[in-house]
Amino acid sequence: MKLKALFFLVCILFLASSLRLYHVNTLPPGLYIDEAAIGVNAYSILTKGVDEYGVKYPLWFRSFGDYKQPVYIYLTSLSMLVLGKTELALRFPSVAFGCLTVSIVYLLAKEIMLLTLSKITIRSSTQIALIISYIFATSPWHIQFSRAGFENNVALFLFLLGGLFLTWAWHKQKPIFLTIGSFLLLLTLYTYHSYRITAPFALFVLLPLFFWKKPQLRKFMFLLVIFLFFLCVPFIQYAFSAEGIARFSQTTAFSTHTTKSIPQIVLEFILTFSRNFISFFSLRFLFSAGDGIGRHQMVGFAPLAHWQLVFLTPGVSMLFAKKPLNTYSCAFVIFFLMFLGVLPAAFALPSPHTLRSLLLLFPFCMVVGFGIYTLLPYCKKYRFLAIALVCIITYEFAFYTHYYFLHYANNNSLDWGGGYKQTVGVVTSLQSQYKHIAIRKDLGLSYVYFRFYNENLHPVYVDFDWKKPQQWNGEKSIIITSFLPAGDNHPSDKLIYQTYLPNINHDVFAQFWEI
Amino acid sequence: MKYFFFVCITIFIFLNAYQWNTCKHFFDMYYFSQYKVWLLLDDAIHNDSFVPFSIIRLFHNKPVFLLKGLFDAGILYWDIKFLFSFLTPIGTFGLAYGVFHSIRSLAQSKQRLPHMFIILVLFILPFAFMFHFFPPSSFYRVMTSPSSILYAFLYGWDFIFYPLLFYYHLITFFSVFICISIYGWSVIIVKHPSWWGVYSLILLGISLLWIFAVPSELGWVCQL
Repeated sequence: MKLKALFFLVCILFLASSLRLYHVNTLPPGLYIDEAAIGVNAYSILTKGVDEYGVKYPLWFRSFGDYKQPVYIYLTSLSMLVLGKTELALRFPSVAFGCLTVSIVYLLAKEIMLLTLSKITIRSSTQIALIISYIFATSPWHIQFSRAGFENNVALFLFLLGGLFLTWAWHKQKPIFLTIGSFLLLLTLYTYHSYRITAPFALFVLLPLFFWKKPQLRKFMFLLVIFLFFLCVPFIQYAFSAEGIARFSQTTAFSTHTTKSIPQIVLEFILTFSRNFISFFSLRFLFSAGDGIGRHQMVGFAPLAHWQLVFLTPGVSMLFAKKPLNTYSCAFVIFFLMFLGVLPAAFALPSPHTLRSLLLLFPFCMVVGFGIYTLLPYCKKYRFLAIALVCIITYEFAFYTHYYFLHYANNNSLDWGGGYKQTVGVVTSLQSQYKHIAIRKDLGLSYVYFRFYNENLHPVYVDFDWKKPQQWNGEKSIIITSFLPAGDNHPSDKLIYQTYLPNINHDVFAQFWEI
Repeated sequence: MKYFFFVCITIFIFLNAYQWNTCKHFFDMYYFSQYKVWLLLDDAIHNDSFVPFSIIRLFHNKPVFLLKGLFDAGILYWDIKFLFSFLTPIGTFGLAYGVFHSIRSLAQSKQRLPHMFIILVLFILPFAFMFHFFPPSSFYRVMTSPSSILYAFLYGWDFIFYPLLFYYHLITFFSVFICISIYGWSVIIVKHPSWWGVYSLILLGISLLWIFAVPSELGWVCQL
């Protein structure tokens, strides 16, 4: 049985790796702005030991008005040490941890079942865990975020790994497992913003539970709490500083008006939080449209596959069945994980949000896995229905991969900074011919892309009403703008080049004007 | 005492549903539109450059896109925000338990016919609503081509009696959902005598708070 389970797990890991690694440097098509900023900072740390603002080995990286967490950036530096300053190096930590997450999901799901389902056999738990890990590996929700430089992907890995160590600590009552598990949970604080709420809340619930139920670990827990507190000190200092509050202010769902009375504020908080919380369990969000952000899913696709809806009811039914497995404890763990997944995202806008609630995927996979396992005994009796369902699952998987690998690059290139790489390439080829290069602000925050793709270029960033200065007279110069239709105020009459988006209309992304 | 609470829950659900009389018609996304489906199919096909024709036909065909369009429109009637808005959390919990109890009874082969009837009605009702009812915005789009004049003629009477017809459909649609919600609570009261009281009070409290949110939630669903 063990060898058979290992074989299936290896197959699932191979499938997960293939889905995440295939053409990962070109798909998604380009780098979104945060990715490019991570790349710039990571390379700067690797080569000079400072971030883009000259701060030496910072704990918090200033970026576009807020501050990024350090873990992913330092991981990217290590990746760039081996792979160089490339898109692959930038995405590799997310891809690698995404693939490893699949194996952690298998182990964690199995441990949760063995701990909470008193009547389950090892064979059954292995089968269900394999089903859950397969669902997780082929989930559009996880594939989307594993194929780009998303910090939350690494944070999810750390959180689930921490959870795994905590389950081992519960089972074997060894202080080392409790320490590592708590440390990994705390590390997520320094990996992604959402875990500033998730990790402390989880520890706040779990550590007292350990103290109450595991008397052998009680003496050790005092030392552990002191150790964790010291690890938290930099975070606590940051959280209450202006930098820490900046991110909260950017994304908070609550009005910051101070003219309201306290009852009004309390009522608004309850209504806004509960409305946001409920939105994450909306069927439209989960199975139809997602959150509508082009980087987070394809248009017309949702975080979860349609076929999973069929297995939700049997899965929930199994969770609340007293017989044969006595599943109430497992139900509590799953709903607690769902609550943790949604809690930080419910404080923020927009809501729902697939990236911030990525942790929600794991408990959903467990429920669907339970649903599949519940219906497995009926496969022989309803053979044709089972075959039809397998065909639908296979077809939907093929449908998703067809859309992702053939359509996504064309449809969503703008969401991924489409056009910037080509623009930097053209400027690189023109720099020997032109002394001055100006970029107009309608090309957004392009400086990050210039610094990532070619930091030897030093263009000047100018406003819309900028005019060529006198000291540039007699020297060949170009100005780069976004597409200006005929009849608009053109910087000059000489349009020398245009870069295009790879979409079906081949829309113009940038125009190069000689001035 | 439990029947008193049961009557209170029933009255509360009906009173909340009455708030929907301000709704003129649902937004277009709640109705199935084959024009939208054809547009999506057209767009998808144009993106398939240098792809074998068999692959294009396999993934981009009318049956698949029709099913997806039906699914996307139908699922909105089961969306938790939609259900919370007209049933409130307490009514939605009753509906969910009623459906759950029916499915479980079907699986255990207990009293199959009534439970099968409940599931079928709940499944068919949203489709009946999103196919049969014909909002004015779609009516004007149909009138642009000669072949659709017959279609408009057949459904023209919908446009004339539009407001009354919408309320008629709304009452029919909601009544079924409300009845199943009340059925769900009646099962809870009988099967779980120990905990139903606490949960119903908590849900009633949440529902009272939710009523403050309903006017803004309705704005996401229908034109007021």
